[in-house]
Amino acid sequence: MQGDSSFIKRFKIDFILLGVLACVCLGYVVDAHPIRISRSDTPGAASMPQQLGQSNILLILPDTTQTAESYPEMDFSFAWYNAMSQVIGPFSIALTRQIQSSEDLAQARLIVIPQNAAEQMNEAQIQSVAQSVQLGASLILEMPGHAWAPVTGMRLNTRGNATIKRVTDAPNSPLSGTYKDHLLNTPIDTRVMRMDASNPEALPSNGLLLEIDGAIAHAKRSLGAGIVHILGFNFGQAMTSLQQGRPSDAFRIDGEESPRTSDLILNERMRTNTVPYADLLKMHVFGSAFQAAPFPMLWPIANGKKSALIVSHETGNLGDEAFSSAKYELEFGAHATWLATASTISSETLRKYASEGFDIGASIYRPPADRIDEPWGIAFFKPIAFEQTVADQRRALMQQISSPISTCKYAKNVWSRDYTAFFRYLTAAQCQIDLSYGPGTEGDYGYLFGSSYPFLPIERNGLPFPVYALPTTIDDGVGLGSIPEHAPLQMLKDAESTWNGPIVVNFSATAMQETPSYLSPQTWHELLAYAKENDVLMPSAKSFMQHYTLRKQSHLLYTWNPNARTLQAQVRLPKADFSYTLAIPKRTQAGALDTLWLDKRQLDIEAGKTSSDGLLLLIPLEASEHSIEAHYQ
Amino acid sequence: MRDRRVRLWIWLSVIGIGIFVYFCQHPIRIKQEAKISQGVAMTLDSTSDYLVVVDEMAPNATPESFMEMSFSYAWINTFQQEIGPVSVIGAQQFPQADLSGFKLVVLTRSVSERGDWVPKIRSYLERGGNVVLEMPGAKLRALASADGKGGLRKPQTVTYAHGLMPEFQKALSAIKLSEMTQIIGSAGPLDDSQTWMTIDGVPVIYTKHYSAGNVITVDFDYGMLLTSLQQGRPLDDLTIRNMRGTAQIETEDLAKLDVPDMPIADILERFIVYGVVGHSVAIASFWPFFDSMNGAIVVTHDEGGMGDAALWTSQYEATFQASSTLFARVPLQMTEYGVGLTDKTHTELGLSFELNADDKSSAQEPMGWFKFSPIWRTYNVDQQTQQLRQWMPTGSQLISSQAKDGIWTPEYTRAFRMIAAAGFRNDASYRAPKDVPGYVFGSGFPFVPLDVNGRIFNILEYPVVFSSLQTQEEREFFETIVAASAKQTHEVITVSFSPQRYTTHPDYEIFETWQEAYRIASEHKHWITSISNYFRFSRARFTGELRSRSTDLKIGNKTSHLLRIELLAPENGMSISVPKTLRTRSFSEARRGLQRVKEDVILPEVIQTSAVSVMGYERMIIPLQRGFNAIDVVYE
Repeated sequence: MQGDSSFIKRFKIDFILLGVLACVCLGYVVDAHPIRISRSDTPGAASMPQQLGQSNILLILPDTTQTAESYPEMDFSFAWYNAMSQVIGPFSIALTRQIQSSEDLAQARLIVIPQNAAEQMNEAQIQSVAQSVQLGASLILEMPGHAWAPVTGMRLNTRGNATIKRVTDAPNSPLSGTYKDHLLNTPIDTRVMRMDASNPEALPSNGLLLEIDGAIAHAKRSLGAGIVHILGFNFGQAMTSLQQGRPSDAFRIDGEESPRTSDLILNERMRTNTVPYADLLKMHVFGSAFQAAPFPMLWPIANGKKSALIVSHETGNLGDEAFSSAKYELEFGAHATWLATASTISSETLRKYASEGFDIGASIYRPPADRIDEPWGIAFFKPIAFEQTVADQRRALMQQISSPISTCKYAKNVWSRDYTAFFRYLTAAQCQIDLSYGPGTEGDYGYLFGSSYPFLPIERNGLPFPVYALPTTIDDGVGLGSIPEHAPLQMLKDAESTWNGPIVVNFSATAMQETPSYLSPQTWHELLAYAKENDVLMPSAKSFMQHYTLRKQSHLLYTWNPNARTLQAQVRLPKADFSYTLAIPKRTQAGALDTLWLDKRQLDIEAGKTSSDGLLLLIPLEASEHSIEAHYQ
Repeated sequence: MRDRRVRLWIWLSVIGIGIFVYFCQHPIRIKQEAKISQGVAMTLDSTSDYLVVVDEMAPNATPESFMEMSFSYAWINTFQQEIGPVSVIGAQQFPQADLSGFKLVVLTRSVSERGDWVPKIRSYLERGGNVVLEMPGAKLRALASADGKGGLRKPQTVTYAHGLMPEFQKALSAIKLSEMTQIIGSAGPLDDSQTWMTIDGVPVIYTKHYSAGNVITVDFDYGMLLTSLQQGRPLDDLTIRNMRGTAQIETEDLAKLDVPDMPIADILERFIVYGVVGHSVAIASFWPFFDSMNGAIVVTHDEGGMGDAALWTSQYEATFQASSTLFARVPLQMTEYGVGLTDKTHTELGLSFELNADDKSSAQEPMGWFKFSPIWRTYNVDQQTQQLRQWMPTGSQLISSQAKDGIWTPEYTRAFRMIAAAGFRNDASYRAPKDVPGYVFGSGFPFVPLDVNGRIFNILEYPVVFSSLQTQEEREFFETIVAASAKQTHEVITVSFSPQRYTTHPDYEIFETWQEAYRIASEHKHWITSISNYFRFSRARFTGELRSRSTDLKIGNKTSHLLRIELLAPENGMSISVPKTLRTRSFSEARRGLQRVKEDVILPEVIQTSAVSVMGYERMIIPLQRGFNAIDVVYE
């Protein structure tokens, strides 16, 4: 012991120096490979959206909602909210408890009652609705129970399970030709209700509009001066399963690999689907309603355009180099959304492109796919790295550009195993637009989610998240694979000439490193060139959504006089740097649109633009107040 | 004392560990001995109208300076490029050679002193033969050349080229000849001769009738000039100097031309073949491009360590049946699927070899334990080749190489020796500087390089005309070059693309330029192909048989001239070119042998021909059928 002690004593200085040296080496190693500390996202909650605009089109929503134990048990009422936002624009909402008497429905010209709301309404409320309809209002009623028999004229209903169904016929659908053919191919995941007319008068010969698996799925009948549309299937569920995707009954995405949003598609056919089935289905339902009793709508694309090309780019780890294509997009008149991560791109670059009208969004990296760590330490010595949550990543990027960020996208469209967990995190992070829905594996393209229109995703409790999901149709970040050459261009052409809707495309700056294909730059260029040549709108996701939400804030009141066959409307549009478009039914059961006055000035109907299906006349409107009067003959 | 020793051990151990760790981070690189193979003497026994005689024993095997090198084998380049098949024999074989089958015999500088051959040559000339004498010695000179009394001189510029279009003449006169060749001056021009070219006012190419034949004297070292232009001019001590201020020697250091839009070496070659020789001999030659096209774009890509990902360019090319060569590095990053895809897309896999490994190099292997490797051993070219061959599918060949980033050896031909030793048949290391694209090596055609020992490598070197084709400016220049090639120069234009470039710098201009290059090539009727495809086609031209004879044909009162060509075309898509005019007669038609059109009617088939101008020399292109062809070309 004595010897040892004297040994340490004798070499004290050496040991101290060795200790310092060891510390320096350890510090070097820890600095190079910091200790990573994981952090979890704070979930945000879905909530009832605010009443924005005003209209005498009324959506009645259930008072109470419960967190569903399984997917088929979910309350899909808010899918109606999404569909009406997409097709109509402004509308009013009311909870069932707010319907106390027929007075509360006096202004309503079109009443939409989803299944859960219908179930929660008592006899008095049903009577109020019936009175309103008898006085001339239209009603769309989803899977009504026995209590609604006086309104529906239907009896003997039995509920069916949610399984994939087939549309077998659409005898009196407003859709015709190609549209109708595709409607019959629409994949439908829904509960159904067996309906039979209580007497022959209850279901007139032209009252059957849609059959699913050979049974009545959509019928209409007159009630007094009004029209009742009865849906024997859960339209909300069908729309949600298409647009938001179908998880397992336990709200999970099963499988071994990292889940992607594309794992939620309704069936494998949707991986390369070029038909917007969800848009067809909703156009069938609302088209039936406005053909029976016309009402005005606000067209969902700004400046009266029939389609829009919304381009986004993930910048990946390419740094400022990722913005190489921005100058070309400016030449094409496009303003893409650039999805960046903080610290990979200089603040100057981000600010420069933001000032040129590009939308800067957050590219989110979260497990299981990847993560971003924030080093922590003193000066250059940073031995610890904290995992960044979605909110951290958005906040860091906002600090870099000194302005708010509304658009987010999970890199590579990765998703959580839980159906809605990632929406909760986006909500907590205050992202308002999400671009994560889209292709997930190489070769996926098209309307994987049946539409490229935005929707508010629905939580298990039936309430929507305040985040608009804007589904992407083409995403080279996951690899274009061997998609047919020019297929994306054809999609854009079809969107312009047939479907009338936006096409959201994502071109990742690192796609050519990770899944290189000449199709990536070629497709990007030909889409932009076509869009420029054909005057297709090329907004960023943010500016597209700006029009979409401002449109919902409009005031749109109308009356329909079936005897005079006259539609009168007053519209008040919020200020904007774009123009709005009013959509008026062109062909109705009351006749074809004959004369039209806008602000007491007669318009030439024949010279006007129409939707590609020929159902709607499109009238450009500047942001102010307008009066419209239309006569049908 | 003991403490001091312990302390010493402790700190020595710490220092030792530190040094070890340092070298693991910055390893010592040990270069392996390069395997080399020298140039070889070559004889070619082809069925051809042309014979080149080279004294394979004469060259100085270890010249001390560039000027001491023998360049006689360079003549092969001219004839193979412009004609196709050419016979080459050594001086030993010449006395026994039967010259009667040849229309032209070239006696290169290496045999210029063979005065003892005069009787044989005279006899050949008396039978109507044609002889080219390169810098003939006194006895050969006496046949039909100027006196040569001015002796050897250092020339300056080409001052006249008879019959050559002005723009090409101007391009030739831009060559600074002083370091590139030598001329023999004479007291005055030779009487009754036709002067074709003068350098500094001195006739250096002229023709004089001799008996029934013609003697064409080339009084300058044509081989040296051609080699200096195509293979580059090293310093006198046969080393290459880096003039760019970087650490590495690159092939572009050998380029000495500053007229990149003109293929000067080809101008010179075509002037000699079609202008000078064509005046005495009706030249039938294999057209150098598939399917009678106007030119060829040989496409190469640098795999750059990307592995399968580098194949996105090939996949695009496959959509319009084009092919290319992908130069890959070792260890090959491609998967079996990727290698299979190269086969499917007709992409040739070549080796991008490294001569000087550095930190980023992959052509090296660690020597050490576990993850500790303070020493790394670099692979030589042969080892890199062996590694890549292991990955190649059975039956596929590895015949093309390229020096990574154009990095070359400081010695003039040492890199070629390494490439030859590794068994490559094609190389595309020579490249124009990225900022000065064009024909900086005087030609786009592949050439056979010479070794410093005056012999030849069995390699075709493809000078890369565009080593960078990314900007609009470069695209415009490319279009100019291709348009000129379609109209006049008819060139092989080798371009190098980097699939990686666009992936790391996704600027659409790069992509658009790349796609536009194919459009431009197609628009100007250029064959878009790989090195191996062009090599196969070239080899078919070199090994094909081509003999012609001219006769006058009298039918009634009309006298025509008939050029009868018998040839063997080993590949599909081959064609020949013949003069559009022969002295006073013009091309009338080309007929292929005799064909039975009815049971008892046999008629010759008239072939659909097309006219073409090769730098002002008007030619007719006659497409061939694979195999034996007997063609009559009628001039009226």
